[in-house]
Amino acid sequence: MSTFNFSRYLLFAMVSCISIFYTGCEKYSDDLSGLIRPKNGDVFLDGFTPGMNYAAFGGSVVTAFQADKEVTYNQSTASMRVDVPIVNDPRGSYAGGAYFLASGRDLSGYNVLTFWAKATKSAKINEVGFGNDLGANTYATAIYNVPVTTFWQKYYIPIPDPSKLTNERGMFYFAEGHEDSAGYSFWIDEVKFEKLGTILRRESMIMNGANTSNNSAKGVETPITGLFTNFSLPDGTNLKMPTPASYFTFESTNPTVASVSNSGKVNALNLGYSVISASLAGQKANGSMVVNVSGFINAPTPTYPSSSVVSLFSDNYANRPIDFFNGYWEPFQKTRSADFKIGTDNILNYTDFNFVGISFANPVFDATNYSTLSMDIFVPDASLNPGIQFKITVRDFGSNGTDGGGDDTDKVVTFTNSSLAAGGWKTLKIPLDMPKKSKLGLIILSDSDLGNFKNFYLDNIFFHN
Amino acid sequence: MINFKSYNILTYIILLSIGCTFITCSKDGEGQKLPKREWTIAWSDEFNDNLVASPDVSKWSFNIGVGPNNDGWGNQELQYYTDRLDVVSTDGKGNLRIVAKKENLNNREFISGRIMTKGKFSQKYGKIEARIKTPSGPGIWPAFWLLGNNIDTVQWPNCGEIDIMEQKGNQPNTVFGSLHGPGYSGGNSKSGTYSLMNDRFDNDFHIYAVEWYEDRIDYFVDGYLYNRINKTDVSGKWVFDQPFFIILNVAVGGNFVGFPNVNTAFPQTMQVDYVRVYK
Repeated sequence: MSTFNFSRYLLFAMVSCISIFYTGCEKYSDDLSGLIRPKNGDVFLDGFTPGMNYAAFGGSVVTAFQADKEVTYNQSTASMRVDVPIVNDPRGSYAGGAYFLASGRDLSGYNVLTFWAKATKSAKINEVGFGNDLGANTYATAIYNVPVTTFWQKYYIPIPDPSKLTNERGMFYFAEGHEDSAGYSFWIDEVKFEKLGTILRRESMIMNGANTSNNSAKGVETPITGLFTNFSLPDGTNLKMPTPASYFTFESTNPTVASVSNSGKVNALNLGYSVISASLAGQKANGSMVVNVSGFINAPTPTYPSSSVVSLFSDNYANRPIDFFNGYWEPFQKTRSADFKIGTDNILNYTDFNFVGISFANPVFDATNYSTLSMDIFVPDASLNPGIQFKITVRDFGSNGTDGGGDDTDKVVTFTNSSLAAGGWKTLKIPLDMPKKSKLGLIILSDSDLGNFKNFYLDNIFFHN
Repeated sequence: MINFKSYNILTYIILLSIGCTFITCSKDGEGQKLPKREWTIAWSDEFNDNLVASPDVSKWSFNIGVGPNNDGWGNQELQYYTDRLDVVSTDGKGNLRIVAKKENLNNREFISGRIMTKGKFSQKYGKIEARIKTPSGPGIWPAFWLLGNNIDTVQWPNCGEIDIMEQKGNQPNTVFGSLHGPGYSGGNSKSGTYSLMNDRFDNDFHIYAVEWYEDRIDYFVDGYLYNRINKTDVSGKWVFDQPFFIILNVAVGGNFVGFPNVNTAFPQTMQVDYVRVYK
């Protein structure tokens, strides 16, 4: 297990379809309304169930998966073998792919996907799941950092609400990177959906089960996060499983103030407050979000004359060319953007923050005559989490004028809670006291490993002297 | 529930092998043709308080702490037993609840509860049953059991112990019914198990009972006889001809069940709808 997170990759990266197994055995018809969908729960027993397609994920080693007739579970005819590449393998950075059907099955009679697995050495597989159909992935559900050893063990991926899976095409998927730089192989066999009375669904939760509050403003969209369901597995162990918003039913006590979408996005519509709650399979989820919609407070208007400013993002100055405000550096980055506009004021909004890049390298910026990078930041949470470490890195690309190559120079400033305000704007100043600053091209914003800084707005990002 | 005595891994393994003899999957006595028995209610607690209250003091008292020898009640159990209302109380909905929590108290990492009828109620022979929804998870050890009234004079295991229900939280589909006495205690107890094929005991309430006669003790789950221990089956002296008192508890960790881990969810609650004793 390398430490990066594949989930966004799985959702958005495409995909080279390299092989199709056993086609032609099962007839599907896409044009019949009232179609009775197959209820078959088999995925891979002695081979793939008929009609299965496989596609390797983008950036992965496309030949990482193959059927194996030598090493199998319980003397079955074949297993699935995955060869995980070493670090820096030129063929791809990881092994990953999805097994999906052309037409959906009705899996509502099952409550868990089970499989057996073992590996050439003890390892943790980053992600194994179902519901990845290389389309909307509406009900994509996975277990993470799955520990495998050198002997066969059975694994369980519970279905948060089986009644949702009446037309599911995504039967199985996996993604795994190197272990401490080393490659290895693992085997998976007897993959099937089952109905097991030995698995119990316990409580679900939003906002990690906490009753939270959020200062929002008209026009701002805020995601409901911290979505999990607890399951008790047959050995009594608790599995806290990340649960897609699509399994939940969201509710707003005051929808004219704040609406909530099926995907758990809260839209602030009018002044007032509303409580967002959720249920899953008819059972109320723990946790809630009080949304307090106020008139939006604009960032303070900068006072520097435009002659002494080079702006990256502001409605108060002309802005220089920008490559992007969110590089979506998959697969490591989780940060999403939910930028918005209040009146004529554009605001950058980062959610699910871990780190993000703002690139302005075409052309690079010569900051020789500028002393400071300034930006305004607003934290919409009702209170600041303790111990925030918000790191801002300004990068000079050095003589080669591009990112990397060993000649870069970074200026790093870390801001803590005293520099931030919940529900208010603060201005952060980064002194450009760098040995080289004639070829600035990148700002990296990052959170500490604590992960306690998730959501903020930015405005008025500019250099001045 | 083994009392006041620890035993080693070897005997634990022996216990497991004994426990395999009575595995069955039928429910509600289907397929069993037992002779009709007539029982008359002699004592009960229905826990029907409509408020959250400590158990009826006329019926129950608490065990507090870590056992008289500071050894986790003879079993290396990890919890500190307390009488706190958030740990042992009626739930206001017709049940007793015993809640095991991960909370430090007196140098112990967990707290839980153990109540008994010692000195308040005991009976020789009859039917003793309870309707219980058990907790689960690695290291969780719920029990409904009986000890001989003369424990303070003859000591355990000479006093005898009848375990009507014990469960290992890492095997939530299996119930253990056991008998301990002189020469057949700890890992050498007489024990039987009953396992659900595709269900779990912690998923719902189940009725756990023994029918105790002069010459045998029969163990039931939901009316199904799964274990019969005859007087002639035990290797030592039969000590089940004197009054016994009732104990309800949830242990955390210990020799019988093993120890909790990061995947054990807390709190874990045992709900008891009623305890009934018949003659």
